[in-house]
Amino acid sequence: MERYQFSEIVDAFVDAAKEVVTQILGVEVVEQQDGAGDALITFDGVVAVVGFSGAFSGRLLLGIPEPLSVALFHALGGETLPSPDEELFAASEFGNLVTGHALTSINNRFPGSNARPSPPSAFLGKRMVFFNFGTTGSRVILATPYGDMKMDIAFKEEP
Amino acid sequence: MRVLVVDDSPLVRNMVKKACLGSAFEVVGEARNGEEAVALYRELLPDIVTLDVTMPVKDGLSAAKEILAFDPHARILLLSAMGDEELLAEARTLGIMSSLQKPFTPQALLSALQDLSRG
Repeated sequence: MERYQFSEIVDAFVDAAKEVVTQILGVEVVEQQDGAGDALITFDGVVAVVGFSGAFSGRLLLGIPEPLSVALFHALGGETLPSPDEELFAASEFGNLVTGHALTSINNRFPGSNARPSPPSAFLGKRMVFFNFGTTGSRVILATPYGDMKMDIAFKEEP
Repeated sequence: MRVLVVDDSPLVRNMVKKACLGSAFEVVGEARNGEEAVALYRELLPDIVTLDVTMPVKDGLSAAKEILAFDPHARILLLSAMGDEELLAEARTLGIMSSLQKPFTPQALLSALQDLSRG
């Protein structure tokens, strides 16, 4: 990383996740542990995936426990118990919010970065395996009253 | 005032509709991407458009450019998770003067719509 410090990028995503959860749900989020990510990442439950590109490119994987995805669905206007599709919509939008806030912070801090997110995706399943290829990754666990979120942030600086 | 809601998230579209219920703003159409937004704008001629930025098929700024080319007086409220200075400057260059960063409260949305309707 020449211009961007790895830790600054990761911190932006962690701060964004905390900010968005607090804004939407009014609860505290505590960072529990972090470390270098592995090439293979496994998730159970709901996972939001958001890519981004600009002066640096990469993606956010956000593993969301079911109680949290239900709470997000209700906070985003849902009124009944969500169907699996609706949980996925809530997870997608949550991933979009976290990435948007993180990239906003990074773009304002590093003018000219022009980092932009792609439309989000979400997946629901057991032992889903994702693979980091050619990127640096970092793993963070964020504890909420609804369970632990698992963030995996991977990116590389564009030449 | 008649509002066209543009967002790829059905949850966000519902949030905007719910916020407008009982207010001076009536949602008359919904679009899931920029391409649908441009087509619906021409068909419905709404007073205001709420417009997401990051969408599949066609993004919000591209759609805004086409809408404003069709109607230079179009009133557009950018609703996006992104809110950096460069994006907002790009939006202003296109002619979009109002924006609200997600997540938003119903009150903040209505206030932004009211400000835009008076502008």
